[in-house]
Amino acid sequence: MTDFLQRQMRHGTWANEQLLERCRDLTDEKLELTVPGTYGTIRKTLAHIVASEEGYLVRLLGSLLHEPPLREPDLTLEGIATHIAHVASAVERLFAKGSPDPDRVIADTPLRRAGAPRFEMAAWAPAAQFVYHGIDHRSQIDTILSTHGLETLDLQVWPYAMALGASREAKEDR
Amino acid sequence: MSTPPMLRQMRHDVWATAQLLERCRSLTPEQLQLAAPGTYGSIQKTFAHIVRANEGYLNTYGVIPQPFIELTASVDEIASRLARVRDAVEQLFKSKDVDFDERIHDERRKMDLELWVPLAQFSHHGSDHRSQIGTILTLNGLEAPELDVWAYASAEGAIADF
Repeated sequence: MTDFLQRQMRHGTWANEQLLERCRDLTDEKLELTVPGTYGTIRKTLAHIVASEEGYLVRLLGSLLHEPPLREPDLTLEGIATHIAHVASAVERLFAKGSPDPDRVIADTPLRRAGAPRFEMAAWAPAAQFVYHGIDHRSQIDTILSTHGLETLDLQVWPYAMALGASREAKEDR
Repeated sequence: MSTPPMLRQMRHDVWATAQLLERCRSLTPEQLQLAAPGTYGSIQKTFAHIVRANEGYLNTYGVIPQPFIELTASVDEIASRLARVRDAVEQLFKSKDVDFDERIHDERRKMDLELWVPLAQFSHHGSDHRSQIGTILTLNGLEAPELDVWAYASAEGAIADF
């Protein structure tokens, strides 16, 4: 059985990829659009999603995904694409040996800066935050696009499941 | 025995909706009707939509009956239905009989689907629309609560600062 969390993380990566492809059709000026009440511009928000996901995975895996780590991202779309690929690969590594123990206590992260506070946490927390965080910020990008009269995407689980073949319209002769 | 991660996520989802609803109890009726371009609709209607959708997803597993909440429901009614959603989530995970990889025919949606799909959509849908309510609040100069998993995990004692 595929781990539920793995399904959700894969959905998050799929949604980021879809959104990235949508952003490739936007001009540089449109990528810098924002609206009050959201995180920032479209490009900055997408970079923030991917950088955060790398951070959650570094904590869960206990090792950096690449050197140097991504800390303060000001990424182009090509840079974002590169880091989405890092995230996708790390998600598969996380589940390669079966489902991670959600109650395992993670004492620290390789990304912690010297002198910064250390947090101990159950593994389920950064894993669930990975899923939540991306949805929250992709929703903000959707709001920015829609507010400016630009086409939005359906990034829900329904179209993802359709693409996977895990959901389909029922045949009438059923 | 470990709590299933999916149950954790659904508990966080219901917790976040409840936290946001409590925040919105202090809003005036006029403020509850605030909306923003690019979002689903008013704060009140979006809450009702979140909970109605939750009921629909859980109905797939037989743990919530129809009829679902109306989109015109009051904040009190939404809170009451959310409590029912919370109970249904716990009931769903008490059952050992659900195989989330099983493919079923969903007559209400006229779809064939694997049982993991509505549950993953439950988590996605609530987060998406709470984000919109957060945007509406912030846009109108109103305070929005922290609803991420860090806040939930801290409240649950699953994160400690050293």
